Amino acid sequence: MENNVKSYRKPYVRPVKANWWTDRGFYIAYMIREATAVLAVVVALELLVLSCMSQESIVAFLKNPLVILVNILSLASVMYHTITWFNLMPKAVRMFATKKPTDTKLIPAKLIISAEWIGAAVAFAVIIVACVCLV
Amino acid sequence: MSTRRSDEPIYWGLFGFGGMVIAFALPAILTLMILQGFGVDCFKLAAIAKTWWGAGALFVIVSASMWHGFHRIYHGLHDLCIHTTRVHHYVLYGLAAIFSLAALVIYASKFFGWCA
Amino acid sequence: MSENQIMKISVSRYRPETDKEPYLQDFEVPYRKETSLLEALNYIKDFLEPELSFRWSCRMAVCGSCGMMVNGVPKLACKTFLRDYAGKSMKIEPLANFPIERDLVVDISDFIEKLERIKPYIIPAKEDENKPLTEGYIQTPQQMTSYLQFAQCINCGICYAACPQYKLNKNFIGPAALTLAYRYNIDSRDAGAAERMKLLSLDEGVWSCTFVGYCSQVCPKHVDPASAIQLGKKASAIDYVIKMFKPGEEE
Repeated sequence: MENNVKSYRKPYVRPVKANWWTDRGFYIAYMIREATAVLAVVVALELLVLSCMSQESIVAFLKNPLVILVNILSLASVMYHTITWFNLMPKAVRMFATKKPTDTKLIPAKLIISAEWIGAAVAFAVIIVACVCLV
Repeated sequence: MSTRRSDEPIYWGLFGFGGMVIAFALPAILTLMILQGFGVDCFKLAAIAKTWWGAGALFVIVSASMWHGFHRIYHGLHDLCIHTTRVHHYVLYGLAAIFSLAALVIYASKFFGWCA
Repeated sequence: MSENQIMKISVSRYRPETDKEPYLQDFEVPYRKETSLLEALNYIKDFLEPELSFRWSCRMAVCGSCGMMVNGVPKLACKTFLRDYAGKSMKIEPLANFPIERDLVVDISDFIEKLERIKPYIIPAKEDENKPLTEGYIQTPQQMTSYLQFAQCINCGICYAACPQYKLNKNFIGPAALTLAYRYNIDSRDAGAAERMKLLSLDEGVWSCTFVGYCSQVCPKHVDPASAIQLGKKASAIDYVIKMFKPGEEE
């Protein structure tokens, strides 16, 4: 539509800075979560390289203080990944307890998270037992 | 606006599987590695890699962690305001693929005794 | 709580005809236990700065007009109370990630356009089109519950202000629109899922989301967009696999 009214519109678009995530604790926690990927890759690479070595070299490698430090940092990073991963899982799993048409109760998030931790504890025990006892 | 269907489901699937594998397997493996570092003789990787279950599990753990990690790194670049292109995509997922292939060769040769 | 406590409120001002960029203006506003931020802004407009511009309508978290940043967090002004900031100060800025039109007024037309694009209404199946409502659209309690939470959206745009992926890429369809696309896709009365799935499955659709999760944290209606988008990813991934094996099915 034509009109003679002068427009004063001049929308101001705020700039996006690369450090946008530093001003909210929530975003910092998210960036740490994403950064756990770096040490996950490091651990996978470490496992792959170790798998090519003899047991004596593996033992010697793991005794290196720098390696111990990296492994402890990696464990912390992996635990942070695990906690955030398990806590977010219920949002991706939305299911009713039964298929009954009148059942409106969703499986509670707490139940899903508990099941994940039970599973993780079992996996932890199985791996320890397998590595210590089976060979 | 593009109309091309995203091929992200493939990478997202591998990322999700890898995230699960890391959460379930790496805490125990890292604990054993750290204990071994302090002199507790518990991380018998050389022997485990020669068993069928050990070689199989290690292949899954290594490759799944790689796909998970490189997927997050790829999207993390974008979060850090680095404009990602198909080149970044091919390089990072390419690395995940190469390491997975390396893992396949290494664990297969361990299991079949092609090398020490 | 006494009648005349005073809150220091810094309000972002931007007048396109004179200002190059936004600046903060401080006000001192008396408040009581019940005073909402929206009332405080109206106090400023009535008694201190009549030129201050902001959007509002219902005063009761239904219309979704008064979204703004309160100390950096996107909130509805009508649902934010000064008592919760007692002893602190408040910094009020326009909703993040949208262009600022004037003072606290932002231009959310990009969000509205995306909302329209995902067709946020029931698209009936051919055979249901001419049936009476009581026949075509009958639904069990479970069928209704499956989408009800996601249907609470009031289109306030707060999730877009919370979303780093929308901040970084304005092509991203974004939390509310994707949530509503998923909400209609799982509605048993709807037959438009295939149409919306094409948008969901784009790079700018669910796949631009990295599950930051802040949208769900700040949503004033507890819609949980992050959940809807992850479920949308699952649906899109399943659809991807199906299409891989039956490539001829489309159109």
